[in-house]
Amino acid sequence: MWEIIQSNRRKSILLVIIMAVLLLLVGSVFGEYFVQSYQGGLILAFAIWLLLSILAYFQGRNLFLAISGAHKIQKADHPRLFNIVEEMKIAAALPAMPEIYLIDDPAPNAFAVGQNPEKAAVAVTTGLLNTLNRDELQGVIAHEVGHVVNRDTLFMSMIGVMLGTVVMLAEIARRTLFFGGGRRRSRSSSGAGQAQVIILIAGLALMIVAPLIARIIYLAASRKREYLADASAAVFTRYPEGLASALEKISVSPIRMRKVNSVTAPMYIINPLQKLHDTRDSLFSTHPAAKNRIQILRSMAGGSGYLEYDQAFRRITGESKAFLPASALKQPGIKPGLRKPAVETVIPTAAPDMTRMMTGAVITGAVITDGIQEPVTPQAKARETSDAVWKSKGYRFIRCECDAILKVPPDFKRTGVQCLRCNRVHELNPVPEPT
Amino acid sequence: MECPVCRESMVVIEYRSIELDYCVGCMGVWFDRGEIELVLQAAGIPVTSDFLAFKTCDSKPREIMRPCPLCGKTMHKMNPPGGSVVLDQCPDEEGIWFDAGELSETIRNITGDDAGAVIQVLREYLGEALADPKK
Repeated sequence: MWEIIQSNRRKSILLVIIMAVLLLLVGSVFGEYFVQSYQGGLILAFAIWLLLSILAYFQGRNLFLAISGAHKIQKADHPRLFNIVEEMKIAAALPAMPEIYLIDDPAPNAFAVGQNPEKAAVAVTTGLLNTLNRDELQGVIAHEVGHVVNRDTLFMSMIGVMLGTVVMLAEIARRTLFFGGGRRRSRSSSGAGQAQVIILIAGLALMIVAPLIARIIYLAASRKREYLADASAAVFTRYPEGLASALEKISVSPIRMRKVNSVTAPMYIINPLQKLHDTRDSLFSTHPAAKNRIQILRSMAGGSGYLEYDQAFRRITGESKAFLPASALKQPGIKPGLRKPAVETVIPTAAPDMTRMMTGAVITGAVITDGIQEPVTPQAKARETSDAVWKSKGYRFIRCECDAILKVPPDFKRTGVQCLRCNRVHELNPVPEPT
Repeated sequence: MECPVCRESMVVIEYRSIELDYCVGCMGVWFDRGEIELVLQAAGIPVTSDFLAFKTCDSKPREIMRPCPLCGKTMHKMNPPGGSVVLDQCPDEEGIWFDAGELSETIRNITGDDAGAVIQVLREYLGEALADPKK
């Protein structure tokens, strides 16, 4: 495990160095054009990068969760999800329990954020909870925890900031040069004219090429890390089929995500903006083709270790180079085996009992999976998920005598709520001030 | 979620594991994508029921256009089969909005083999919301 992080780190450092060189090149050309000094440009580029990096390091996680519309949930809001995250926390030997966030979106997807394993957070959509069974959900959580353990969450946000800075500087320079280009320079002595033109063209070319190179580096790093997180998920769960089946369900889901843009898209387990049926890893995709990822997981020859994943990876992608460092593939005598799928015991369906359902004691039409209660009917599953959303948003629950449950939003202004079914009016106590 | 008519925060009502949003101010009801189907499924009625086949209004509707409470896009005016009711449906089919009284009128006009069963199920779920406002 440690070797993988180490090798990951070495490769990351190389990528960061290339990115930094690009950043400084762009910065110096930028400076030459706008303030007539390379040093000025270097300082400017460095300052912008530093500022954005500091912001990303300390606030990136919260910013990211906020723009994705994620709400933090507590254990009581969704015990089943917490149980799975706890399992994976132990399997991955995380030092702290990741915070869990819910995104109210019917499209199934998930992502992880956090600058280090102590401050990690995992966010899943309500669509994911409604669509997947326990084994599949476990696979997805394991993949996200894999990103945290492999430090991908930190690395991708840091290298993302560098990419952003390069793109921004190049964009400004390009626009200015095209539309008002080099007027100031033409005032200098006419003898240097030709050299000036050559430098101008070379600089312009750099401003066009640099963002492209930076983007390709960023995306190549991103794809490698998706494979690695898949491998980690197989190791943590000892059940590659869970993740494979989850990836299949997520990638064929026709529902599009609501709050997503090109900045947040690469963070998800399946890129919500990537075309569904891509089979090749293109130079410009953030994630490897889902089809390949599923095939690799499914052809892991009866084992769940990094060695099996690596062999399957090479078979499917046709690459001859080992994907993981040799030390990680050296395994002790026993081959890490597969576990069996989760065992389900169906609770016989009884008449709906609202009191027990509300306290979460027994969910009608539920199954016990590995000792944890799991709803099976689409209605019961949808209810479990949306109750978690309501509670995370601070809704108050009122039981009406007609057996309906009224869920009142925290910003509800009236003093009474009329029930839609029976017209009974329920008095509301004043909202307690949030502490 | 805000009521598309009075902009008040809507209350969620859960009955037999199915949730609907409604506005206490105007008693209009919002069905999320797939919620009517869930109600019918729970009662064992085939989801292909005719009364879900809404048509876009031909003539220009007199009602003002309203934003979808989920995505904010302007909703389309729709006619359920066999009536003069004008409903609002999200252009991305996130859900359907019924003004107070529109539900009962829509349900009165349900025809087809399943009509009796559909009406009975919806009455069970929606109770007084389907009572005839003229009474």
